[in-house]
Amino acid sequence: MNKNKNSHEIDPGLLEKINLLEQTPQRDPGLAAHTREKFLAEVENMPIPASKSFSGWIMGILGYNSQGKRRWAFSTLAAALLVVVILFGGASATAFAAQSALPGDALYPVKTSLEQTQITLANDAYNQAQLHLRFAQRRLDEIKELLAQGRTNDIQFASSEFEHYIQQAMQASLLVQASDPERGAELSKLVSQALLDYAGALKSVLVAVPDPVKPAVQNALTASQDGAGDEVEITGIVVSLSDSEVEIDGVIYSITNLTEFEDIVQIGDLVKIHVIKTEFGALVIREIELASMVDENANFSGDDNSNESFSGNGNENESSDNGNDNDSDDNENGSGSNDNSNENESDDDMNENESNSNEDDSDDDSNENRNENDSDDNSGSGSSNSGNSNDDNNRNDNDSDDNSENSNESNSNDNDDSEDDDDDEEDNSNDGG
Amino acid sequence: MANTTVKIDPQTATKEDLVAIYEEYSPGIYRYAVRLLGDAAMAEDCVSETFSRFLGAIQRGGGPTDNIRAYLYRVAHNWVTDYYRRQPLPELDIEDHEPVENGSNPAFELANTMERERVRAAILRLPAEQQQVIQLRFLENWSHEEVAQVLGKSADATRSMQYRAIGSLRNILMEEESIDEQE
Repeated sequence: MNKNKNSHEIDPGLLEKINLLEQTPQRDPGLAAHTREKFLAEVENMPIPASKSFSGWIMGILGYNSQGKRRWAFSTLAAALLVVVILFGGASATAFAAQSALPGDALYPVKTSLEQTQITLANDAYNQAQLHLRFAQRRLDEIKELLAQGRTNDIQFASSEFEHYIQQAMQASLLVQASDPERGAELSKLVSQALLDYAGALKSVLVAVPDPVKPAVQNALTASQDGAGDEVEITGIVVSLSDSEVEIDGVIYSITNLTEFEDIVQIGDLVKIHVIKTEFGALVIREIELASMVDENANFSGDDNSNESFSGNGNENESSDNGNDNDSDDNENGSGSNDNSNENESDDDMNENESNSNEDDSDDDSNENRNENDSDDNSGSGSSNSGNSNDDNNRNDNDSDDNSENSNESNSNDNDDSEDDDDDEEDNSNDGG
Repeated sequence: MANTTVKIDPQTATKEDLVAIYEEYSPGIYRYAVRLLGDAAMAEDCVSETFSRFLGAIQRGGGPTDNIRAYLYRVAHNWVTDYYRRQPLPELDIEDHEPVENGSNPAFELANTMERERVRAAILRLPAEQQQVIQLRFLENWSHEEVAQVLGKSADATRSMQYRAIGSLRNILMEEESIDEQE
C-alpha cells in the first residue's frame, strides 16, 4: 500500500491511516459533466479570444497587445487590410477550412465557436435541438477521423463534447415537450433515433479505440444508449405504408427522416424492423429491412414514398445519416422531381426542418464575420448576413463530412487519462510518477 | 505526481487554453476536495467554485502568474476551509477502528469506513496549511518544493510544517488509543 515516495518521512502506522483516504469513490459522471458544463459556459462568456492561432492572429493584426488594449497607431491600416482580406474571401475560406478541423487543430476553436453562434442564433429550442444533434454527429465523425489519423489523445475531448451535445439535445427536447407536446413528441422521436444511431456507431468505434481513451468513448456510448431508450426487433408483414408511418401486423410505427431503409419496402413485404419506444410512447423505426429476399426493384411506384430517403440512405453507412442526410435531401429537392411530397403532413414537417438546418448552414458565413467582430471588441454585436452562398456551403459541408467518414479504421496508442477515469487509476499513476 | 504544469500564461490565455487547464487539473482538484469534504456533490461545488474564481481572477487581471496548479489547489483548499467555517467539522470518533487489509467482510468494511471518517475528521482539525501538507505530501505525493509553491513558503518551511503536522495528527488520532493498547 505504501508506494508513496515520501513515506520515509512519516511513521508507517500513521501513513497507513492517512492512506485510508487515498481511494476516493469514483466520481459521478453526471455531476462531473455538469460541473464541466458550468465551467465551459463561463469560459464562453469571457471576453477573450477562442484560440491564439486564429483570433489571436486577428487581434494581433488589429493592433491589440496581450492585455487587450489597442495600439491605435497600427490599427487603421490593419483594419483596412482585414476588410480587403474578408472581401476577397479570406473569411469564408477560413470558415470552410475550419469545417474540417479536428480537435487539436489550430482552426478547431473556430469551428466550435461557429457552432455555438449557430445555436445561439437558433430561434427556438426545437431548432437548437436539431443543431445539437447535428454537432454531436460532427463530434462523432471527428472521433472516427482522429482514430483514423492516430490522434487518439484528442478523442477524449471530442467524446465529452459529443456527450455535451446529446445532453443538450435531450434537454431541449424536454423543453419543447413542455410547451408544445406535438412538436415535442416529434422531436423526442428524432432525438431517440439519432441517439440510437450514435450508439451503434460508437459501438463499432469502441473496439478500435486504444485503452486510455476507452472510458471516454464508453461514456459517450452509455450516454447515447441511456438517452435512446430500449430498442426491440420485430418481424412482420407490411400492411400499409406512407411517408411517416408503416403499419406492420396491425401496429403503427413511425418513420422519421432518420429511419434507415436497408431495402426497398412495399406493402405485403415481410420485414424486420428495429424499433425504439420514445418517452412519449411512440414507436419509431430506426431501421427497416426485408426479412426475406424479395426482388430489388430500382424504381418503385410513386405511391410508396417520397424517394429521397430511400436512395439517400442506401448509399450511406450506418453512422452518418444525420447531418448528411438533410443536406443531400435538400440538394435532391432542388434538382430532382418530387412527385408526392404533399401526400402527408409529417413529411412536410420534416422538409421544413431540413430547410431550417440548411439556413443555419448558410449562417456559417455570417457567423464567421461575427466571430471576427468578436475578436475586435468582444461585443458580439453587428453580424452582417451574407446569405448568397448557401449552396456552396452545403456542398462543402458534404464534402468534408464524406471525407471524414471514408477513413475509419486505424489505431495507435497514445496515453490520455480520461476525466472520468476512476480514481484508483489516477492515484496509481501519481504514485508511479 | 509528475510535475505537469501546463505552460500557459493565464493573462494571455485563450478559451482553448482555459479548457485545457480545466481538463488537466479538475480531476485532481476533485479528488483533493472529496477527500476533505467526504461528499461528492460538495466536492463538485468546490471544483466549480475553484475554477470560477480562477476565471474571475484572470478577468480582473490577477490569477496565477507561474504555477497554475499550485494556485488552483490553494483556492480549492481555501474553499474547503471556508466551508468548514460555516459548517461544524465532522465529529471525531474517539474510538480507533483498526484498519484492515482484507475488506471483504462487511464488518471489516465498516471498520475501515469508520476509521477513514475518523482520519478525515482528524486531518480537518489541523491548521489549514498543515492539512494541505499532509494531503499533498502523502496522498498526492508531491515534493516539498511543489507543496511550497501552494503554500507560498520555502521548501524548508514546508518540511518543518510537515513535521508539526505529523505530530499533531498523531496526537489527535492516537491519544485516545494510547490508553488502550498500541500497535
